[in-house]
Amino acid sequence: MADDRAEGRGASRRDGASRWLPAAVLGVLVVVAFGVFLTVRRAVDDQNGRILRERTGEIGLLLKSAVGEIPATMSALGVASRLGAAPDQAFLHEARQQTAIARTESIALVRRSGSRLTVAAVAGLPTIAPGDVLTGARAAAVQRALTSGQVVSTRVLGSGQTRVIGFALGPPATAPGTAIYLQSPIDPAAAAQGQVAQQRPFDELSVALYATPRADPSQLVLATAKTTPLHGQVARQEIAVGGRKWLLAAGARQPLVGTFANDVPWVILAVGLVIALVSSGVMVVFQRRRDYALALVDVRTAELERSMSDLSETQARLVFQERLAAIGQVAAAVGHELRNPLGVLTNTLYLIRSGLADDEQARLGRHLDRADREIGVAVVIVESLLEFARARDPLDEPVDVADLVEESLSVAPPPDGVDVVQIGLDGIEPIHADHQQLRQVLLNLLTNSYQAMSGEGVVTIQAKRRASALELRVSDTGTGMDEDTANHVFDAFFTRKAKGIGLGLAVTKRIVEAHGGTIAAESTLGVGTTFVISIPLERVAVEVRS
Amino acid sequence: MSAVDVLVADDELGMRETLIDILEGSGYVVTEAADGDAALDAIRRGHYGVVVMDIRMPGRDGVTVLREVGAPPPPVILMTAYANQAQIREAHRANAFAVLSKPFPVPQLLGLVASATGAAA
Repeated sequence: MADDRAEGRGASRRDGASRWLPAAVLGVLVVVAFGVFLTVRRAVDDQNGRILRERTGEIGLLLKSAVGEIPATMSALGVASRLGAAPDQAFLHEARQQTAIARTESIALVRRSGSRLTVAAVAGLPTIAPGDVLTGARAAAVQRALTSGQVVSTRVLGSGQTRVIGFALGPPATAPGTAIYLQSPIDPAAAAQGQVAQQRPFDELSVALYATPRADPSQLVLATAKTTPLHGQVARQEIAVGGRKWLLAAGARQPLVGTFANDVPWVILAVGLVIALVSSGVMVVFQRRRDYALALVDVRTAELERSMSDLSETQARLVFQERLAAIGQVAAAVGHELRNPLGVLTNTLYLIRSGLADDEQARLGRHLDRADREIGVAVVIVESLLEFARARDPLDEPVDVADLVEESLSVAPPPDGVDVVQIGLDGIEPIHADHQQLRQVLLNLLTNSYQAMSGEGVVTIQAKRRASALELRVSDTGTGMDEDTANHVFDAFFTRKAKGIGLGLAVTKRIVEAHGGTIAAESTLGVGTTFVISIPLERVAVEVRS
Repeated sequence: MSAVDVLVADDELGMRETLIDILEGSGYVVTEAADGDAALDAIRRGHYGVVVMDIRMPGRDGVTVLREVGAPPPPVILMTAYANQAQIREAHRANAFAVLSKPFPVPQLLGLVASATGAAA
């Protein structure tokens, strides 16, 4: 029970800022984790890239030195082609030695005659025959070689399984008007099996070599990767081969910084996310516990306050009851003790009156009358004191309200100038109450109204049957009361009248409450006062203050 | 009409004196008692036409005196300053002729005394 209340109050107690705190912390930590992740990954990538570029440079050097063998070989052939009386034979001799090593190559000696380039001799694979006239890319390469004096390469020629690349070298390495043309088939995968590609940096990298500055698949010369073009981080380097620019592209097979170092960013990200989740979760848990504790404090505080107020209420009631009981005892004692002297006074006045002669009677009679009247006032005071002191349980008898009002008006008739108006009294079912006590109530209220109007006005007695109670309203058109007076009008010994000791309304209230009813005063200064009494139709058990 | 003897029993001197004056003024012969025991003695020894007695007195109270007098007692008018319902019921049960609540109008007392002596006669 207490837990439920704590939950309910906790939610209301939580303010907006602290409710979103865990989510905010989670967000911030996730952002931080991603930031660190990205930074570290960039550092790792940079490191990878740096190492990749270094390795690619090494490979570039290796390839350059490998390609550099071609001009050396061709220069040797060129020297042979200039030798002696039968240069063609010397060339062929030298070329056959070369093709014996590189069995896939064809090496031709080409002569220029006019604008035609005619093959004079061929060694190696017979892809070219003596007497052939070179055309197209081959012719263009040879023409350039004849004028440049450098090794000139063609682009990769042909397609599919028959792709080739040619290299040409002209004077001064060769005899004037002659050029050496070397043609080699291109098989990128086979090239990857070659001696150069087996060296160290290659095992870490996927390498692709193109005979153009672009990654053109048709110009692929060498590939150690299963697929080209390469994906991921790729380093590119240009290599000058035979007067052309070749492209070397290389990517790492595995992270060059090491597998663990490469995974560090991901580890950081994972740990960061876990920390974010855990810390925001812990915050939520602590917040819930705090809210719960606060709510529990609220509940306990409310309970404590309630018991405190109950206690002080009870105490106040006890003090009030005790005081009322003490007042009652005093009232009873005073009332009783006054009755004897009042009796003696009554008797004495009687004796004086009966001892007077007729003329004395006429002279002193009015004084004796006044003394009698004052004794009567004293008796009324004594009666009200005793009525106040006497706490009797109300009887349970049928009471006809119309009869009750009629009887009360006959006991306390309105003074001259005061009219009494009755509303709604006929046909009201009898209620269960104490006839005599209710008559006392009505008498007190009527007397009160008469006195409030100083001789002129209207008293209205109105009865209304409610669901479970009878409502009686006694209104006057008198002077009314200020708020302070209205607040204390039911207090014992409270009075603003010249006469009376202030017990009438206290007794009235006690009787009404002993019936389980309520009484209230509604008053406007200068307009009048209405007393509203509500008496339950059926008697209810009421704890009577004694 | 021969004088009727009346016993007035009250511990209050003022009440006793005024009652004696009033009753003697009305032609009764009055004997007085200042407490319950004296009243019981007087009733047992004398022949009173009527007794006017306070309920609360030192020694025996009025109701006790009335009970202990034995039969047949004279008519007893009891007086009380306490007007306590239980006390009044008790007084009636002890066969009081009447119970008067102080202060009472003198003519009422005289009327009761007259009817009590008439009833006794």
